[in-house]
Amino acid sequence: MTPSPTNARPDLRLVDVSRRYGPVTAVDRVSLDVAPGEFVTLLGPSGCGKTTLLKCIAGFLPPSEGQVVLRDEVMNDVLPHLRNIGIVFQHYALFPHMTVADNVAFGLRMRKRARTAIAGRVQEMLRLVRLPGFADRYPHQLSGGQQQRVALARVLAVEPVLLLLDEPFGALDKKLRVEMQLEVKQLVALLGMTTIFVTHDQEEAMRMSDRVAIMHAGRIVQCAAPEVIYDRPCDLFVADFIGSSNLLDGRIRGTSAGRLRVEVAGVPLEVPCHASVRPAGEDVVVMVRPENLALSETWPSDRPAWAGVVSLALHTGPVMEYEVVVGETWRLRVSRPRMQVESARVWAKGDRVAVTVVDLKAVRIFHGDTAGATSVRSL
Amino acid sequence: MDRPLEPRDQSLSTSGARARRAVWSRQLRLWQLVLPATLFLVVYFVVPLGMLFYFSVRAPGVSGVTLVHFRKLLTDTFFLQTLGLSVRLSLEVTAVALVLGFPLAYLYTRLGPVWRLAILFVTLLPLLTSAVVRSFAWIVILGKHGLINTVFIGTGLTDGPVKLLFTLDGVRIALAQVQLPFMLLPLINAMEQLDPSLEHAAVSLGASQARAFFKVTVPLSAPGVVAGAILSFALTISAFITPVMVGGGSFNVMPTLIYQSAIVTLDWSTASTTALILLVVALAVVWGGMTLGRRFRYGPGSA
Ligand SMILES: Nc1ncnc2c1ncn2[C@@H]1O[C@H](COP(=O)(O)OP(=O)(O)O)[C@@H](O)[C@H]1O
Ligand SMILES: [Mg+2]
Repeated sequence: MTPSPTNARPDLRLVDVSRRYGPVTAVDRVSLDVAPGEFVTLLGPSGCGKTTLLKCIAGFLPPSEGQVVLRDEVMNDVLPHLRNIGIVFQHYALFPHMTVADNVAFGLRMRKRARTAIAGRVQEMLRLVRLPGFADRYPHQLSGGQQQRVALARVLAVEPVLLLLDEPFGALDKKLRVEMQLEVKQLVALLGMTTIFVTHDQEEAMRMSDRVAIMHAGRIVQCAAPEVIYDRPCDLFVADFIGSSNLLDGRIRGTSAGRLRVEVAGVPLEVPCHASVRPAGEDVVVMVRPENLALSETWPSDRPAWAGVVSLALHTGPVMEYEVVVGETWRLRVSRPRMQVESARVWAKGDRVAVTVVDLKAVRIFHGDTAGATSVRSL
Repeated sequence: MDRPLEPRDQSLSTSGARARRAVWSRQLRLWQLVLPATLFLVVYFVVPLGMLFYFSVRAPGVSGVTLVHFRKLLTDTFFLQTLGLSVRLSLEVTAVALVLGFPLAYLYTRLGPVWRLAILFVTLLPLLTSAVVRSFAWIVILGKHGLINTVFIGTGLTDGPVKLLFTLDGVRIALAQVQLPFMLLPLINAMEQLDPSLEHAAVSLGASQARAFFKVTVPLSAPGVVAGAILSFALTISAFITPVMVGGGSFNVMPTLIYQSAIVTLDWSTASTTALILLVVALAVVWGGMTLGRRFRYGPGSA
């Protein structure tokens, strides 16, 4: 159940799709293949072009350039109602003047299905979204989560080629959100539905997706499995956007045997070299995840360490979050599981500690020319 | 938990008294605020309405209440024909305004700010001139050698001039123009409240743009249709200047009957009775419309 994007014919193929509004380029040369049954999430800050891209796929907006290909068929000139693409909108867009049953039946009626077939299908869909017996209610008589499920039943009833979900949980409270995430994920997997999901909530994206496409200023900057995005962000934007990280100013001191020597806050780290070899003396930004830093009382003999003082210690339940001040201006964010055996010790504000990197392979190095990348960015 | 309760009670009671005083003074001020409007309505609305009632049930030589005026008018064929014409004319004008206004309102919600302003400006402009000036303009346009006939004959559409001025058709056209903004504004209001993704949802489910419009936008605009139709009907059935000037006395409507009784023949009883009958008929139609409209309200607050 992990579809690989390379073997099968993609259900959806975007080829250099751009969309401009006057001088604003809302979507900028986006290319993306979505395999049958795959769940791909477009993740990015508000205004990065996610909705515009969905509208181009659905046919509500013509792309300024590029092609939208659905199952080998170029869709650019196909009217939206003939594309067979299902959409769930943020505010559900249920028809308020129709009952739940009429809402679910709408697409089937448009396709001129037989009356009895429609009735059966409506019942089936309502059972699927666990709302049997709600057929005669009106949308305003339902809770947010129930409306959401009706919207899903309505769109899945017509068996679309592709399902688009535009921030569908934006209007739900946190607990219901998590429930609906699971429910939608299971439903979509059950039906083998090819899905493009849009959100600005990274946890939601990570939890639900086979692949996450990070969008920034109209472009897809990285598209990969959630853990790859998290572990190996391709640039500073992704590193900063996904999860929390320490983004530290560093300087290259040289290379040796496939390792890059980089100095951060006076401490030299030897990082396994990935891809580009950088010249000595270059300023870089070093990314270390908070959970990749460990604290100890004693100075480690086998690895480099920073000497610091705990300035903040926060309980978040499973994890302790610390801020450690190193030298004058450096602040390191450290998070440790409270139950972890070797560091069962919980630190308090004012404790003197040595900070070490747990796994040097997980440290990422980026060009330092991105504006605003300073040592205090991590907070 | 063993703190003495007394001081707390005391503070409660004093703050309670203060709160009561505050509410009382606030009420007093609200009452003062609505006083001018209340007086105004009493003097210029309630009293005249009472006088209408009084005149309509009194007759010279009869002591006490009489329905003689009502009996006389409601058995008079000419009166009933005029009443019928007034109602029909108002319904027709409302229908024309709706047919013109609905697409315009839809267009309005789909266009950018410049076009929106243009639509509002063009449709609201007639309201900024007086009814007399506007009717005079229509006389110029509809006349035998007016704009419309010049174009019709010039383009060979008709051989001779079409008679529009001093006809019911001319009055329909002129009234529809005045009623258009009263129809348009409630329609725009209703359509702007519709989530644009409703139509997108219908289209994505396989409805063509036209079907989405008729299945979703039209039924959901019904509250605006009802509001606009009520306004338009009420204003048309009481219109006086336009039917007189553009109609040129070729036919009567209820307001002209009232005018003739009150000003020409000085028969205040007949004028009052006519006005009351018109009022009741208009209220009946408005009430019918509102009852119909309530059926088309969805969402919280209906049911
Ligand atoms: N109708 C429009 N006219 C002009 N600019 C628009 C329009 N719709 C969106 N934009 C611009 O395009 C960019 C992307 O918008 P959108 O796709 O809605 O972003 P997202 O869904 O990621 O929040 C934004 O900068 C927005 O201001
Ligand atoms: Mg959006």
